[in-house]
Amino acid sequence: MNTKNREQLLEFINETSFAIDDIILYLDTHPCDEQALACYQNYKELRKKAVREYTKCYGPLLVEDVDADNFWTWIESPWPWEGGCR
Amino acid sequence: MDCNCSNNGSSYPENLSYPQMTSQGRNPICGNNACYDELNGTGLPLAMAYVPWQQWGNLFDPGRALQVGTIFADLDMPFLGCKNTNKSQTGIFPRSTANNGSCGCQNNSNSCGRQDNNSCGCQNSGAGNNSYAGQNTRNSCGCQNNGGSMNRSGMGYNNNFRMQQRRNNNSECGRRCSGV
Repeated sequence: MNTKNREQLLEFINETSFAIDDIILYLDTHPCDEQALACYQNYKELRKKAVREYTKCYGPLLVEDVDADNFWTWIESPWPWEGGCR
Repeated sequence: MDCNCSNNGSSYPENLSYPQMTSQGRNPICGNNACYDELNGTGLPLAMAYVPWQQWGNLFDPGRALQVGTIFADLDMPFLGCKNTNKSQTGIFPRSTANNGSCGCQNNSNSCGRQDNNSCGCQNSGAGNNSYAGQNTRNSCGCQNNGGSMNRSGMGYNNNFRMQQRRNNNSECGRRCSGV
């Protein structure tokens, strides 16, 4: 994960997010499928790790990722219209 | 049993690409209402649709999944209209890979050992093998009702009944398929 630059990391997050979304749809109708559950768990962990990494290095992706201890970092990183999501 | 086949292209704007026509100017599978005509007299009840139960597996990697729009390779069925359809010797529901995209669906080959993935009512994923009553044996858990009642023997209801029995005999699938 450390070898990914910002763009690659964001891409990875997008990919794992979509994978999770699609697996969720499968699990909605196959709630006991162990392979699907394991796959969901795997991608969830990968995404979580990537989001944590991204947040640490480049700022919060979601507002709930803001560590509001001493500064409101949500406004620090570029907004989407400023190229923040490329 | 709507399979988008009633559309012979005449109402489409000329500058758009829609289901390919044969040299005779009609859709190869849907022309002259073939989809409907060949289903008449088979004893099929009207407006019955069948959705095979999805099985886990055959996943794309996440990058490919995001591009394609699904992580499940079995669900990667781009809409092709009636493009690439063929009328095989065994009827209008060929099971061959040449039948990709018929009637807005894609007839996947059994590369993963599963049922063909037909998502529209006008294709029978089993009829091509000429083993009508035996189609049920290809159902991996007895709950994928995409063959039994679509056969040409007029035994649709009996087959449905048998499939129900199989569901009951398979606890896992029985539970899963209670809504089929």
